[in-house]
Amino acid sequence: MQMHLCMFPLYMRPIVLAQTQLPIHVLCYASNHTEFSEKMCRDLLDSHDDSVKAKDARGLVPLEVLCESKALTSYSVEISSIIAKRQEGSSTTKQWLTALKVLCSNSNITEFCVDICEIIIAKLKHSQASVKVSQEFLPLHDICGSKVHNEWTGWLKNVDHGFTAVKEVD
Amino acid sequence: MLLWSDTSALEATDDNGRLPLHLLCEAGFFSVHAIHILEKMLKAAPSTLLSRDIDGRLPLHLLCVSKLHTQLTYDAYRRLVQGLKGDQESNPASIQMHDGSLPLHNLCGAGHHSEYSLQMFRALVQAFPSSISAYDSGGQIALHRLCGASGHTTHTDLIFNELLSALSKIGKVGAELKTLQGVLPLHIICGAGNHTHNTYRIFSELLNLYQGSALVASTKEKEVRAQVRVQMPVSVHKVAYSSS
Repeated sequence: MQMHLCMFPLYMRPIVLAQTQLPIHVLCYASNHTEFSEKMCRDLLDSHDDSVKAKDARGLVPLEVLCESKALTSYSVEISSIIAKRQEGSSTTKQWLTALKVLCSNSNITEFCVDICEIIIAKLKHSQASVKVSQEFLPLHDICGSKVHNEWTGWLKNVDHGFTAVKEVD
Repeated sequence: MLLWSDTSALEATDDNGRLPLHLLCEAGFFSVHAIHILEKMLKAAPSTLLSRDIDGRLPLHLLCVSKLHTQLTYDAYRRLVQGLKGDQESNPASIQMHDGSLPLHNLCGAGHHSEYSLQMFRALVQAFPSSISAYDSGGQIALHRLCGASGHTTHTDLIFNELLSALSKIGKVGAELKTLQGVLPLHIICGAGNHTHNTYRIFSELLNLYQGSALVASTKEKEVRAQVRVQMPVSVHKVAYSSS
């Protein structure tokens, strides 16, 4: 049986995460972000600018870890905006696309995922005018393949409409 | 009346090895009547105080982990520990559950701390001073449990400061405050979720404490990954890659 972090008591989860991740990674994965999570994020990034680019053992940067968090809130959107802004100069198109793919793979798509999706797509558009579409990055596959469809998965699909980089190319 | 004269009912366990006393303590939200029942139970069957359920939990462990500690919870605590200080074997504050947790671990991890949680904390530390630096089987001390608790309150902050101060007196400062797996309290508080104003206060203190040093990945990464053996979701593995 495959084990997921949610199967562990709350107080045990950071043990798993923290060993391979920086505090900013752990913060991004935390559930139910609040205004104080946002403050904590700013403080962590102010203390260590490079942490936005830092990868954990799975090769994920903080924004990608945030995208896989299961209980996103409006403050998660703020956090993603802060991180995306700081990441702007150094991130490649591939990295933005990875974040988008992780987001689309999230099993709990909500309106906040749509907001985060918009932020990432804005950065993607800004980062490269013309993007070569790769078979590796097909966020729509992840959305359509999601086991739980709701009104927000439909919105998420609309968000990337017209953006060539994430269109289906099958 | 029958209950108090026949103690066998008070010493009868359920499938989880719990006595009526365990259940009373676990329920929390103590009323005056519950305290009255507790007194009678302890008077009729004092040995139940040190009875363990299948997880090795004493009634005191369950009382500490119950939510919303009130004046009556504290009253219940005092009745549970009354007359049992002294040698370590009969000191409930020094007894570990099967997962290595002391009552202090449970109290710190309970979250939503009140002024009575603080009083219970002080009483537990006084009853067994070594408990502040004792590790559970997950490699955590009470400070880690406190950081990982949900709903940090003003009293959580006070407990944190008292714990930190007591730990510094025994030389546990800075890097010494890691879990046995090498996790800093800063990581744990970041992952606690539902961050409150008091979470932020504790976080700020920890950030000052670890300025710079905590922000690099642990050198024990491989060892811990081997110990924990938790697989991440497949979908995440698929997208994880290295890009330059």
